[in-house]
Amino acid sequence: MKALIVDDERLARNELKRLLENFPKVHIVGEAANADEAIQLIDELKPDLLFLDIQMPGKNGFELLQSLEGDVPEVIFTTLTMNTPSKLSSKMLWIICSNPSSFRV
Amino acid sequence: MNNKEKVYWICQLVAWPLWLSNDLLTYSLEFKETENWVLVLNYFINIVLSIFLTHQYRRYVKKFNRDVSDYRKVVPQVLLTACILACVMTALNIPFDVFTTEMEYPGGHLFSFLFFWGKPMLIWLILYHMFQYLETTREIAVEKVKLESLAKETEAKVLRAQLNPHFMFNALNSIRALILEDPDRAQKGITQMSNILRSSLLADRRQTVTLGEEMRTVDDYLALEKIRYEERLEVRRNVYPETTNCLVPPMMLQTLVENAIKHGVSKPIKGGFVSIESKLNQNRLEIRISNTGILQDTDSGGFGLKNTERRLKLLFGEDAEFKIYQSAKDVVCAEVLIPMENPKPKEAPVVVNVE
Repeated sequence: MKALIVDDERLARNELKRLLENFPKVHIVGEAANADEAIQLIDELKPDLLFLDIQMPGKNGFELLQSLEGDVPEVIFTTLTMNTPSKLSSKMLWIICSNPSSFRV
Repeated sequence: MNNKEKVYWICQLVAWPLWLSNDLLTYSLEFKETENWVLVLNYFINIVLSIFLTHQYRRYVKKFNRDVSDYRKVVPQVLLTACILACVMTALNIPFDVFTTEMEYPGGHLFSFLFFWGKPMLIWLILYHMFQYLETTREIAVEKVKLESLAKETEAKVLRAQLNPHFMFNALNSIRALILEDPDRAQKGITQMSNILRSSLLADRRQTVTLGEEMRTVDDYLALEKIRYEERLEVRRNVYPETTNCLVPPMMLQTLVENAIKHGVSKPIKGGFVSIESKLNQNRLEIRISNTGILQDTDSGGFGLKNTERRLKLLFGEDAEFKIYQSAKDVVCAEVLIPMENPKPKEAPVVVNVE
């Protein structure tokens, strides 16, 4: 299973990679530090799984998902902080409702 | 017996004998055939009576109408009481004088009696109420000052910056990731975090800290944020040594730097810079915290920034200033100006003890 990690913090990506070492099935094919990098990599690498942070500089995680064209990989949100603005949650609901099969939060 | 009570009794015991001694002299000269001890007895009886009656009036005022601020009520009350007291004294003195001086037609002197007694009573009442009035206005003023300082203190406590829990959360996660990668740096990070926590706890108890202390907290804070943002965070720091002993509200700079990072570094993809400058200029401490970015209204309507301004003014008076502005095309600057002519912040006003 090809996985892509999207997080703006290098240390957070490293930590996730380290944790994923215990899961040989998951093969990390790339890392992205922001949404634009991620969109490009998703297009190139066609990952099956996306480890996605929500709060990122530039586009946030939800905006990234909205701007994806074609196949959307499975998404696991890796957001740890609770300071997600409330306006995001309604958007999240909208994305989940409009595309239920793609999400496993 | 408190001071006010003492003053009252001294006045009573001095003023009445003095006033009535005039009467005693006149009588002793006019009625030479009357024996002196009778006149002296009369004199003392009148002193006791006067003090007793006026004291009864005072008790009445204290018990039933403490509120003597309205002159439309007080003036008639004073006049009426003066009349009543004069009548009472006259009614008691006429028979007494008939007995001591063997006056023939005491009724003919009725008005001079009334006038004689009305005068000191009126003076007494006016003095009493004037004193009362001054006393109450002073009490009200003191009460007001007390309340104001209490309100300010409470407000300052509420406004005192709290450490942002999200920062702690993020810092802990960064340190966790660092433990395997760079254990020494992780260890340092934990020390820095504990330093920040300590300053934040102390901030609840202290009104001010020196800029030097505050800068140590800010440096620790920046070191932790640097772990998280790495090359995306650029720190510029220019603190003049002569400013390190100036007093600032605890955690205020930290809050402003945190704000700068939130808007200037965490949002743009490439990150940005935070610069801290402090200098003394014309007896004024100037602190500027700049970051990359464009000034815009926040969701909270700048509540945190208004807090900072309020807090500064509470501590250092109205001359202290706080503003935030676009200082260059893509640089936002938060500026704190603290007057230094009185380097100590205002303490709670000294409250005069009034019983």
